[in-house]
Amino acid sequence: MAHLAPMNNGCVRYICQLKRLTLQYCKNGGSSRGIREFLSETVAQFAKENPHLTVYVRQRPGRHPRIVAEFLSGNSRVVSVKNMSVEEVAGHISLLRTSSGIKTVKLAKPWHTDNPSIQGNWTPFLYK
Amino acid sequence: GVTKHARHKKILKAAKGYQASSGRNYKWAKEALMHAWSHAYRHRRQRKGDFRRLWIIRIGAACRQHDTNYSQFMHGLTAAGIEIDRKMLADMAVRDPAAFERLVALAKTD
Repeated sequence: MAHLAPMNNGCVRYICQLKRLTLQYCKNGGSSRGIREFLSETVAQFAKENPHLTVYVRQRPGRHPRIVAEFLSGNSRVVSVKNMSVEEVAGHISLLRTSSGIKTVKLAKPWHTDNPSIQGNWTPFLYK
Repeated sequence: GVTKHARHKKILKAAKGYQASSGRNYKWAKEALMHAWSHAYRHRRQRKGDFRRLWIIRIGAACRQHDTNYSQFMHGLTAAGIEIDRKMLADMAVRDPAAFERLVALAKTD
């Protein structure tokens, strides 16, 4: 059985799960070069194209740049964009925009099934 | 000092939940963690054997309900050309006993 989108988002109506983006950068740091370029070129248009998103731009002098994404479910995800190019930053932002708000969690097993036993589990009285 | 505090804090965080001084005191936490990490290293390798042993026990118990034993069953499976691994066999014995019964029947033929 294929894994369905959470809450069947997109089956009838698609609701973007991203609520808020906070782009934190440093004005002078070398690792912030990509995100600075992104901020000067693309971010205004990106914010206009996505009116449901609030985009905050915050200066954090002396620290590496990052993007903090907050979702409708209340989860947040922090992506470090240190030393990334403009294309990589834009790629990460579009990845956040299209993601569901589920927390990235290490899977305990590589498989998942809702019905592990079709005919019923073994019981001590099965073959008595 | 600042760096010492940062180094110790990292160790104490890893030792959260340990009993008595080992969860509070840097010196004992470091000792406890060294043991914990070496156990974890060794047991990650042992885990593979541990699980195989568990599966074999379960398969043996399941096929004894069908009048064979583990060794005869596995011999019959290889003779029949069935390559299902022990993990899946144990899982089938629990979750799909009907299919496991059919496998035992297949292993018993000739």
